[in-house]
Amino acid sequence: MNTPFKTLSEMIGLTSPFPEGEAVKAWKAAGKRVIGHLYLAVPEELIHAGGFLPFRMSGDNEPLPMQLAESYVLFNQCGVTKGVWQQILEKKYDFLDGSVHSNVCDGVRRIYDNCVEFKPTPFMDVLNFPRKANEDAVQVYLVDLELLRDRLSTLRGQRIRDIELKRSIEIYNHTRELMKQFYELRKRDRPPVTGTETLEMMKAAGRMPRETYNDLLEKLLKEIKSSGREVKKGKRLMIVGNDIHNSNWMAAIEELDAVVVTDEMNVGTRYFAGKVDASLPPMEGLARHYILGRPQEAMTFGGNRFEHILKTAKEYKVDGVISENVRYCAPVGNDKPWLRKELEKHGVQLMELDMEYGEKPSGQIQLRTEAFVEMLQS
Amino acid sequence: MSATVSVTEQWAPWTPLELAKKVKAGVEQYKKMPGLMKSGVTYLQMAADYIEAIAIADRDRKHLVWHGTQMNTEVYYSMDIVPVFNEMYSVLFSMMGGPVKGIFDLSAANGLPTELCAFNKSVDGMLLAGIAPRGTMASWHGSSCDNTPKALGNIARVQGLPTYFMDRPYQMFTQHRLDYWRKQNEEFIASCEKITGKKMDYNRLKKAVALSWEATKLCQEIEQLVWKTPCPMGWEAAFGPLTAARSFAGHPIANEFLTGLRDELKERVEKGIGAAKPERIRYVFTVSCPYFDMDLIRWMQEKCGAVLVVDNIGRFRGTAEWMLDPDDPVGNLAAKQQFNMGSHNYNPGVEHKEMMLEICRNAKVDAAIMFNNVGCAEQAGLSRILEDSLQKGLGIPTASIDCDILDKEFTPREQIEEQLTRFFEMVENGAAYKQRRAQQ
Repeated sequence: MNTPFKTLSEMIGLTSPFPEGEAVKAWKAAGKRVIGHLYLAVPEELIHAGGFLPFRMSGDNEPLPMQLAESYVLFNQCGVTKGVWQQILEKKYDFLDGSVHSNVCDGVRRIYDNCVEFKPTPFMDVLNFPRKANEDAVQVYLVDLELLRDRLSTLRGQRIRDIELKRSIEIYNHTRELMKQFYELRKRDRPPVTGTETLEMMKAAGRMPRETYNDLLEKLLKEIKSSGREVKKGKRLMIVGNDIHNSNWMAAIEELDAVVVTDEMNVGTRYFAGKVDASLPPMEGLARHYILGRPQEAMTFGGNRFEHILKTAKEYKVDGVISENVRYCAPVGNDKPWLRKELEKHGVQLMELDMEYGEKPSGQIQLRTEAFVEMLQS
Repeated sequence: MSATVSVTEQWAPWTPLELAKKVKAGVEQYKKMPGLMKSGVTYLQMAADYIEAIAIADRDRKHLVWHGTQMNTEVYYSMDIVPVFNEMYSVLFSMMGGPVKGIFDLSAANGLPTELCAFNKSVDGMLLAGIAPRGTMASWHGSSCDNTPKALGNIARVQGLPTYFMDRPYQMFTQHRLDYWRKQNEEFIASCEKITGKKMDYNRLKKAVALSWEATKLCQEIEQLVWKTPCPMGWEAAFGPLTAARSFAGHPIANEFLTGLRDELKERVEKGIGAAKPERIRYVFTVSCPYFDMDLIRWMQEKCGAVLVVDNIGRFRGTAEWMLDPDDPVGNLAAKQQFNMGSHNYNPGVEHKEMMLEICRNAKVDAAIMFNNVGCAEQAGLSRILEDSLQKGLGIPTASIDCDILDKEFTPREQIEEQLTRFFEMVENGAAYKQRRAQQ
């Protein structure tokens, strides 16, 4: 049994209870506003530069009942977005002063539609996110980002200045550097942290003021490095597919003789890969990073998702990949057969899981994972 | 142009050539059925021509391009390219009694999740069975929905085709997004030039665009006639405008069909001929129609006196004023996307809702039917918005029926008939219905 890291416990404490944790309460108590967002289509830097707290909307460590959500959207909406909608209806996101959505997938844009219709917040926005990663896409996205900047400036009552954007970019780039350092530790033969701990660390980034988070992450890195801790597990796993926010799910996998050493999630490697080019005008830097600079998602045509997965699997010396797909997520689901072929071609062992979002691992999933780990050991 | 695909005995009856024969046989059957609209026959003939062109493209040494929803077929026809629309092909496969479940099973066995859109699973299964038409290119839109780009990407990968992908911006009514879109239309044409080795004849494209514009206007005229009471459009021709405008835009076939249909409807309106005798219920398909069993529309008409007055996906949006400059065919085609049939599905729900309220008011709709295609998250997320607004705004109730849009085995026919029978009775007992009837 590994001793818990004090700084990680502090992060978890500040972001609990979910979603309106202590850090959010303190922020609101100071009279400041919180803007929700989903996925990586909306640059947090822009919201941050406006003096708002960007809050990443998601589920967390408990399974979500979907009955309320399903009285608005039908059962065949993907669980990730349905889970967010369920919590909105349960008034758990009432602390938000606004939200910025996008057309990144059908589920996300329909949540925007339902919010507008049934649960509007004082500020609601939807950003056009291109599904191509080329120069033309950067240019059209840049104009749309400028329009969003205008609207956020109106909300603030003052123009968001370039200097503020540059400062925010610097802060968020620093997060990326720190997260990268954290993940580097996981490349060790005996990594000092588990996948479960990593997920908690990653989730906290979207749930508290970034300056506080960066300080804590620096402290956590020092604590980890000085701990001399080694997670002694037999096999190294990678999680690919939809975002997982339930750490209990990850923990159940790590009860086996395996440790999750990396992933391809938005709440994982995709989040911190690359950096916004600070030498460019700030808005252009953001547009280039979000379209071209980070690993793309399943919805981007000709995107580099598979390359990112293969490269990451190699860098982290993974023994096997768990490819999970939240039911009714079409982008990830459609990729599955091709991803399997690609991984097989490169000799990467794979287990595919279809699952409900937020669920704790069922007996069947545990059994299959156990068999997979045993197979990796043989 | 392409290699001949050898198929096993099990799938041999469902090659493109065999499918073309089946649709042709269907036309002959229609001709013998008493009391059908003439346009019912010409509609199916148009479908038969469509499949035949696909089936013989290889023999005729023509390029065959797989495409997804919303693509401008005017470009293909101007370059003598044969288009094959994955959804249209799948619908005709299903309509002709094709083994939908069988091809779904093949797709599932190959690893595609079963809960994905039927149109992905069907062509995926056809590819695995060796009965999918062999293309020479694939071109499609993104941002139409999540499944379309993936389905076409899958076809291109399996058949090893060159591709052109168009990123349709969300909320297109801004100049910078339209400019982005226009440029992609130019690149799309360049991609067709590359595979055919021919330059686009822009005079020919202008003519195709003019034809398409005329077809749009015909569709709008037809819509006004369909909204008359009693509704003159019979089940047998109800999907003609969609087929013509989606798959034959820019081809004279579309205009010939639509002109004939318009004239026939005019005549029926003048003579007071309604499709249902008597007309009890006027309904709308809010999102999609039951491609898995189009006979349901006949059943609703004949057994329940219910007529389809609005097929949401088969109508142009708003004013559809997309012909901006007759000398700029590419600009016109780019502008067309904003108004294209079914394009409102891909825009904010509030716009869809407002449009639906307006049409239902104008068409004097009594009831709404939503066929919830299990693989379509786009529809699933819109259901309550439409349902509530129709109920609260116009007193129009909605029946929501879970289905697979191609597989008639997914929801038993008896179950649907039972559900719809009770639904229509409920509609007739409603105050809003009685008030509408009292005003007529």
